[in-house]
Parts: sequence; structure tokens; C-alpha cells
Amino acid sequence: MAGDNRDEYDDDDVPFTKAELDLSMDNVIVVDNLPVVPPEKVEKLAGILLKLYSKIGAIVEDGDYNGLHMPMDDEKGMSKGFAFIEFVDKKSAVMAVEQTDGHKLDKNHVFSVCRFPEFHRIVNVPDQYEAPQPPQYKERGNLREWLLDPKARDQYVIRYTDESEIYWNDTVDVKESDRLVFSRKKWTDTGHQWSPHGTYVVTFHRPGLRLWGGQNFEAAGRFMHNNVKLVDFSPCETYLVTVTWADRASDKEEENAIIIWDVRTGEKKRGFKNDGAKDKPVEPFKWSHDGKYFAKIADESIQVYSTEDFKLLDKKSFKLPGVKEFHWSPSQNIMAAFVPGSGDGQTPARVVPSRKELRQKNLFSVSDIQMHWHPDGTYLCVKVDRQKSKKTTTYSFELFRIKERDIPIEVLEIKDSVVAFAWEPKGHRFCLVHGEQPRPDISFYTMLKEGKAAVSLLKTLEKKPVNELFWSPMGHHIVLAGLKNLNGMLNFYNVDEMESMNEDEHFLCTDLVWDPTGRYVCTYVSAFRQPMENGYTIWNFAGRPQLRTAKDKFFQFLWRPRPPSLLTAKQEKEIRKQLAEYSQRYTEEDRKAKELAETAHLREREAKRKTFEEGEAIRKQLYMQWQEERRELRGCLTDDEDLYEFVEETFEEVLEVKEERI
Amino acid sequence: MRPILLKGHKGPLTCVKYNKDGDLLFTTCRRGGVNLWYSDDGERIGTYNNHNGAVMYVDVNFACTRLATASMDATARIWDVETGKVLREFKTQAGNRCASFATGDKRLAVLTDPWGDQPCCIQIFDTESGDSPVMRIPMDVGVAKATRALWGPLNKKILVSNEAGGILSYEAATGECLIERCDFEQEIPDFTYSQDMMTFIVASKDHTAMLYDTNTLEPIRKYVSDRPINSAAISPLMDHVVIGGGQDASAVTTTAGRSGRFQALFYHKIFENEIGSVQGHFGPINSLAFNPDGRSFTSGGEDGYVRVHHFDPEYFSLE
Repeated sequence: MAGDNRDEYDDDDVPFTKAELDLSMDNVIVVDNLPVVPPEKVEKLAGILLKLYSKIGAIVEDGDYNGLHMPMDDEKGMSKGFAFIEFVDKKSAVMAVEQTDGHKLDKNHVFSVCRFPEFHRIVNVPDQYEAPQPPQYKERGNLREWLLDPKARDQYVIRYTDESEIYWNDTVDVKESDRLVFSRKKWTDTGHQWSPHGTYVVTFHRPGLRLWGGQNFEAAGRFMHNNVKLVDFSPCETYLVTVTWADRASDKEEENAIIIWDVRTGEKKRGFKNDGAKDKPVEPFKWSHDGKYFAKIADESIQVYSTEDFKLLDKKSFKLPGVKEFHWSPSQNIMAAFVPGSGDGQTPARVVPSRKELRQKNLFSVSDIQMHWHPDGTYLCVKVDRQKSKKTTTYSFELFRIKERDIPIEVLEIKDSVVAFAWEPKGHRFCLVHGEQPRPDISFYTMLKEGKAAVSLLKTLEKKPVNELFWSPMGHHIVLAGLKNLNGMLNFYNVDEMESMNEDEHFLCTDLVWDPTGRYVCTYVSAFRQPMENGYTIWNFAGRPQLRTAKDKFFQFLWRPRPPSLLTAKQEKEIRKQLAEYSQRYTEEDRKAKELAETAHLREREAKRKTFEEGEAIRKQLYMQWQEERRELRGCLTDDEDLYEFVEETFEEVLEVKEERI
Repeated sequence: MRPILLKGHKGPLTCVKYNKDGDLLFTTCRRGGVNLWYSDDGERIGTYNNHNGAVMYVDVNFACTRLATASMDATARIWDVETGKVLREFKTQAGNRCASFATGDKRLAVLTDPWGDQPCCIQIFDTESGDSPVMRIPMDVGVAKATRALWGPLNKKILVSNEAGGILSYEAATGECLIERCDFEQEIPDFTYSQDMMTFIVASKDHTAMLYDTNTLEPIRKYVSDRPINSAAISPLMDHVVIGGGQDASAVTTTAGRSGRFQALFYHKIFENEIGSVQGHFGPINSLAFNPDGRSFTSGGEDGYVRVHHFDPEYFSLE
């Protein structure tokens, strides 16, 4: 037995691997445009090169052989004017190319350096230029077809287990199969994302991502970026940014951590390297509202790039030593930046592209800062946390009126800790959650007091189980939600009337999303955060549940965004005026649709009942057929046919008749 | 609807069953023990003590004179309902999962677990005499373990459910498997007949329950829920079925109590839609039964409680 065991060890424990010769020559570079020198000067030149390159990385040295080879032209007795340098590793080779390509040895000799594998490619370029065939024009169809829906319904995508499904949101009782627009198993590896105007839906795959659009969600673009982690669109859907980073520090680094693509042509516009640690998330770019600029923080400055040429705007970055955070205005090319100082901080607002500082405010003894732009860009709120002593922190809000002359600032002091802050979209109010968890207070403020610019408190709701705020994208309504550890308490609140429209609960709900029109809200329990109760509920703005769906392993719910309205403010006002008329029309339509759905529903039930009763009749007949046999088996007549109808019979029998004379 | 809580067992319930008249209720427990209660007010009448292991199933005969129990102590017994005396004791080679009286009470079908290299086996005993079975119907070797074996109408067939989600029909005279179908993805813990035995409802761990035609063994309706189903019953009065179960007992403590889904769910028998739920158990429901008059139902849970629910008058005005 012992021998057997050893045999087994021999087989199993020694892995058989074949050593492979590294023939890639990734670590070799070619240095061209060297001076042509006679043999006696070769050594001197080699010395210069070695000195230059050994600073960058270790050059192979193995006895007589060193990594530098300068070929000689035997006929002329001179050097050929180029050299090969072999580094120990690939990384040094890459760095050497980066650092010394274009290095000036003297006036006439500018180095042209490339890596050896690339040299091959360059040599193989044919001398004659051949124009590539222009690709066949493909009709893309109407990518905004969904907006033409006669009922003006919205769409949403859901993902559960490995299924992806896109539905119409229809509140009139319509069957799931009728609302389904598109479904596909294993459509994406990790998740979905809509483009900002809703034209495309993104699917993620290991080698890159794909866009899908049009009526039947045909493929509308493919962007190869290995192991892509994040995707970001420019606000006008013109450009697409893909971001990746290595999963582990030991992984091979992508050469382009960030790539900017043209959405329509699929052309790669520019790649960016990863500046930080290679296994950390790359800081993505922030886009200006019109998609003309994109910026990020790097080296004590804000680097702003223009989409005209994808280069640094005016070839220089905004120097802001110590800058920690910045945000673009959602409506102007203005950005707000926060520069913490030693013990104090300042929040200047700066203008692009004129680089002028619009307004700056110094704040002292700041521990943290958060900036919130109003969605219309009219206001900027800066939440300032100040550490007064070890235990007490005070909170205040610096409110900037961006659209007014000189940008006046107002300060609002809040005594308790602030849990959440949210601006009212298309309005002038904001909402605050402050106080002790888990039942903090909620306050509504307005930026306009009786039409004049002054911050004033509207109302405070005391002790509510709320930790997150969700304004309707149209303003006026807000959902005060207690998600996650508050088990999904929802309060649908009308801010105009300052009254709660409905309070309800979606047990364990983890996320809440408003549809783009502000008519419906979806709450869902995502399997990412919660293993039980997965599914989603759609409510109307007033908090009446419209649809409840439970799905195991439910991950994602995303409303399809809409492009900005083409109506002018005036036209919108006009419509608002005639709202009563419209609402009458739509109510009528809804009523009809509901009636139709109900009759369909009834008909379906009728059919179900009919088929069931047919089967039931057969069974009943069989049951009666078996009666005789059953009674025989039981040996008694107490059968249960009478279970179906109880017949009560009274028997009267005259037993005796007696006549008595009284 | 205020349920009556019956606290008479020390462990998880395995089976609850009404007698024919609906005035008595029998319950069995995994820790051993069979209880008899008045189904109307929940007063305990007595216990049937003698088993040395979990009692898995109980069946009461038509006349309500005899009680059959299947136990994991490798016996099946027939008791006198009134006195609680053991009339017959059948020794089997392994634990028993199910015991069922044939119509006329002459035969008892006992489902025995696999032992050694022997597969599951239906053993048919004579209720009057003889200690060894008059017939054995072994399941095929390698086939999933059977969970229930119940006589069909007129003692012609024996229906068997198994852990692979299959329903099998055996001819009682020959022991031959006539029909085999697999409509479920996971284990079938229980199935129960309608009162006339012309239909039966099957509960499955794959979150669904299905109504079958007993004669053809064709599925008629399917009830889809969001939890593993352990038991189901058909209302004799209304077009309703009740199904129950819940998150597996081993996973219960990992989440919020409310999300365990231990309610009994009512579905419309014909339209397959959920019409209501009754909560109360704090562990999965293991067994459900309707009173033969259809005016009350009983659930037995993993939590050790039996809950007897008498319906409110409003219930009967439902469709």
C-alpha cells in the first residue's frame, strides 16, 4: 500500500508545467537617430546611452553581454545610427520610450525611440497609402421611438437573476405580457445603465460594453474596453467615458484607464492613464452641463479639457493648491471648488473659460464641507461642519445666489446634526433632515420670502422616521423616506399644501426612484443589499400603490430618462393653465382603458371557470359511478353524496291514539 | 378571526388532521406524541402515548373509531380512538413517513424510509391480523425518497410523492407503477385530497402548489407564491385552497422575523389568484387541514403551535 501511495503522490503533487521561453521582446527598445560614428567613438556613444538609460531602469547585464547593441555597417566602417537596448523588465522599457522619445542629444540628433514589438509594426507599414473603405451606411431607425407612445407612458428596465426586462409603466390594470417591451436572458454581466436622455441602454461585458437602442433594442454601439467598471455619458449623449482599474495591485495595468468615445461613430477620442494607485477606483471626469468641458482634480489643480480637441483647455490647468472637491453648475459653465486650508477652508466659485474667480468665501475651523448645486443652477448650498470641541460639531449652510449680481451669500445655522439635504427641482425650496436619529426633524425652507430674496423657514415636522429625501423631479412633492435600517417607511408629502398625502411602508425597501415626469415613484428591495423580500412597488406621486411585484434575486430598477422638454417656459405655463381640460381628457381615457381591461379580465376569469367546471362535471359523474362500489367497500350506506346538499326531512308517525275524557 | 392556540406539543408539528365529522382534531409532533382535541374550542381530550420517536403522520378512519400513526421509531400503529389503546403494532425495518387507511379500513398502507441498500417501500398491512405485510411495493432503487403514500379512490391506486418533485401512481393490486410525472422542481413535502378524493393538491418547496385530477393525474391549476410550500389543503365549502410554508427553519434566524413568510395563504381555486393571508406562526407551517364543514381550518407549525381558525362571517360572502 505504501508504494501505491507514493505513486499517487508522484502523480498528483508535482504539477507538470512546461517552461516557456519569453519571445515577446517586450523589454527591448529601439533608439533611432543616433549619430553615425566610427568604431573608435562607439564606446563613448554607448557610454552616453547607458548613462541615460540606466537611470530609467535596469539594463540587462550578463557577463560580457550587456543590453546595449549598436549594429555596425561593415562596409563603411561606421555605426548604423541606431541601437537596441534591452531592459530587465517591460515597465522600464515603457518608461524609457515615454521619457526619451524626442530627447535632444544635440541640434541634429533628436532621438526617435520606440519599443521593439512596435518597431516591427512600423516597418511593416506599406509605403503606399490605401484609403480604408468607408463602412456601409446603416439606417439606425428612430432611436426616440418610445417618446411617441400615445399614452405618454414611461419605460423602465429591471434585472433579476440573469434576466433583463424592459416594461412600459402602465397603471391601468394591464397584463405583464402586454407591458413587456423587451426581455433577454444574460443580457449583461453586471448591470444596466441608461444614457442621460434615455436613447440607449448600456450592457456591461468583460471585454467592453454595448449600447442598445431603437424600437426593439437593437445593437447600437460597441465599445471595447477590457474589464470596464464604470461608464459615464456627457450630458448631451455625445460622448461616452469608460473607466477601468485593476482588481488587484498585482494585475496587469491597462494602458488606458479612462477612454472617451464618440457615441455615434464609436470612435475613440482619447485615452487617459490612471494617475493614482492602479487598483483603486479612478477618479472619473466631471462634465460641464453642455458637454463642452470635462474636468478632474490632479496635482493641486483642476484640469479642464475641451471636447473640441480633447486637450487641456488653453494648455494649462487651474492652479488651486490643495483643492479637494469641485462641482460644475448644472446650468452654466461655472464650477464651485473647495480648498481646505490649515485649520480653515474657503469655497471660491470660479468661472470657465475666463478663469475668473466669481466669489470666494473663507470659512474657519471647518471639519468637512459638502456642496449641493440647485438642479437649475440658481443656487449653491455649501454645508459646513465645524468642530467646536471634541464632542460638539455645529452645522451651517452657506447659500449662494448664483444668478444675482455679486452673488450674495446667506448663512443658515442649524443646531442639530444634519442627516440629509435636498433642493426642490424647479423651485426655490429646500428640505432638511436634522436632529437625533432615528426620529429626526424635517424642515422646509424657501429662498424667497414673499417674492424677495431671503431665506426663511416654512415648516418643521417633528420626530419623523426619515433618513433620506426624494424630491419629485417636477418639484412640489417629496417622499420622506426611512430606508434601510428604518425598514422602508414612506411619507408622500405635498410641500405646496404642507400636508402628508399618504404614509405607507415598503418593508425592507432599499432604494427609491422617481420616474422622469414626477408622476410615479418606484421603491425596490435590491438583492445587493437585502437577501429577502426582493421585488419592486410602483406608487403614484400621492402614494397609492399601483403595482407590486416580487422577484427573487432582484437587482436593479431604472426608469428610462427622457430628453429635456422642447417646450419653452411660456408654453409650459400655457399647458399648466389648461390643466383641468387635459386632466378631464386623460381621466376619460384612463376610465375607458380600465373598463376594457376589466372586461378582458372578466372574460379571462369566465373562460377559466368554464374549463374548470367542465373538468368538475366529469369528476362528479365519475364519483357517482363509483358510489355503488364505494358503499360496498365501506360496508355501510353512510356515504357522503349528501355533502353537496343537505336535505332535511321530517317524518311523522302516529304511534298511538288515545282518547281521554276530561 | 381570532385563532385558538393549541399548546400541547413540545416540538415541531408534523401533521394535523380532522375526523370525518370535523368535531375532532388529531395532531402529531416530531418530538413524539399524538394529541386529540375538540376542534371547536381547542380543549384537549387526550393523548396517544407509546411511540418512541417522531410521529410523522396520522390518519383516522371513516367511522372515527381507529387511528393510524406512522413513526420514525420503525413502527406503525393502529389505536382505538376512544380509549387510546394500541390495537395493532406493525414493526418495520426503518422509520415510517406515512400511514393511510384504505376505504373500508381493511388495509393500511405504510410508507417506510430506505434502510441499508433497500429503497423506500410501501407496505400494505392487514388491519385485522398478521404481523407481516400482505404486500410490498418497493420504489425503484436510486429514485428520490418518497414523502407520502396515500390510497386513491376505491383502493385501486396508491399515489406517491417524492423529494424530486415527482408524483407517481401505483396500481394497488399489482404494485406496478402506472403513471409517473414530475411537474415540480423541488421536494413535495405533502399532498392532500379534496373531500370527495376526486382532486388533490400538491405542495412543493419550489414555491408552487398544484391542483391535480386524481383519476387522470393531470394538473388542473397552479398556485404560485414567493416561499417554499410545505402543505396545502382544498376547502370543501368555498372555491378556495390554502397553502403554507415559509423560509426554511435553518435560515429563519438570519433575517427579520417579518420576512420569514410564515402566513397561510388563501388562493382562489379556479382563478389561481391570491385572495388573502392569515399570519400568526413564527416558524414555517408544516401541515394544513380544512374542517370538513369548511368553516374552520387548522395549521401546525415548526414553532410547535397548532392554530385553529374559525372563519368570520365575512369570509363566506367572498366569491
